[in-house]
Amino acid sequence: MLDCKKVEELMIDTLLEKKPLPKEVACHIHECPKCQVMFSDLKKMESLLNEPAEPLNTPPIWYFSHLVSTNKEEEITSQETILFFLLASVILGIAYWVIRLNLFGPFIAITSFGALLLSLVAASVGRETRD
Amino acid sequence: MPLELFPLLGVILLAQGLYIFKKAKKKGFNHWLWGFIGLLNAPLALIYFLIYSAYKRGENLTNLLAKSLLVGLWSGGIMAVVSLVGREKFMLETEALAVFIILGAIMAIAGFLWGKES
Repeated sequence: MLDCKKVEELMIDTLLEKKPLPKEVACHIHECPKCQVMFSDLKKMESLLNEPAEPLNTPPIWYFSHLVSTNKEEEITSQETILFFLLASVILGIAYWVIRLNLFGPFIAITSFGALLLSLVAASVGRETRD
Repeated sequence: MPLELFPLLGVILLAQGLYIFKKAKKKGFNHWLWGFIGLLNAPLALIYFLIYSAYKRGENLTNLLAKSLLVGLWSGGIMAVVSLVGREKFMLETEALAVFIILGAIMAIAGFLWGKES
């Protein structure tokens, strides 16, 4: 003869292993009101467990680290951009005075040649890392 | 060059320099050097940068240069025809004609290389 404690264990086992309820257990539940309540509770829990899980809305942890690194990179770029604008204003200031002194022709020639030379320097510096 | 055109030149140089600076940084080149080159001259600096960028991408440089030259010749030719047609109407001098033709060819090469880049 099965007692309530044993029936409870068997009910949980059958629920977890998704097996049919043994005949003795079913008879006991039919006769015992306490086990009927327990069985109905377990059935509710089983239905809850069988419900499909909701999709996670939280992005994975790598996404946050990516966001942090992106922000950091943008911060550096904006600082560099400000420095670049300072450099640009110096160069444009020189260009302004060159035009004012009617030296635009030689200026164009010199900067064209300078740009070519510096491009060759930049190319030779970064040559070893061709894709 | 008249001084009134300086703001236009400034905007062109600044935009080009900033573009090259940002692109060079994104591609892992020496962005300070390339940015400086971009501020020196327009659009030759852009052409140098785009050729270098194509070289780094592993493109066939001879083929690219030959195509660029062809584009430049075509555009120079078109500019020459347009300038000669409008020569009398706009009273263009020979020097201005040469400038138009060279500028047209260079701009077309820059545009062609820029299109390849993006």
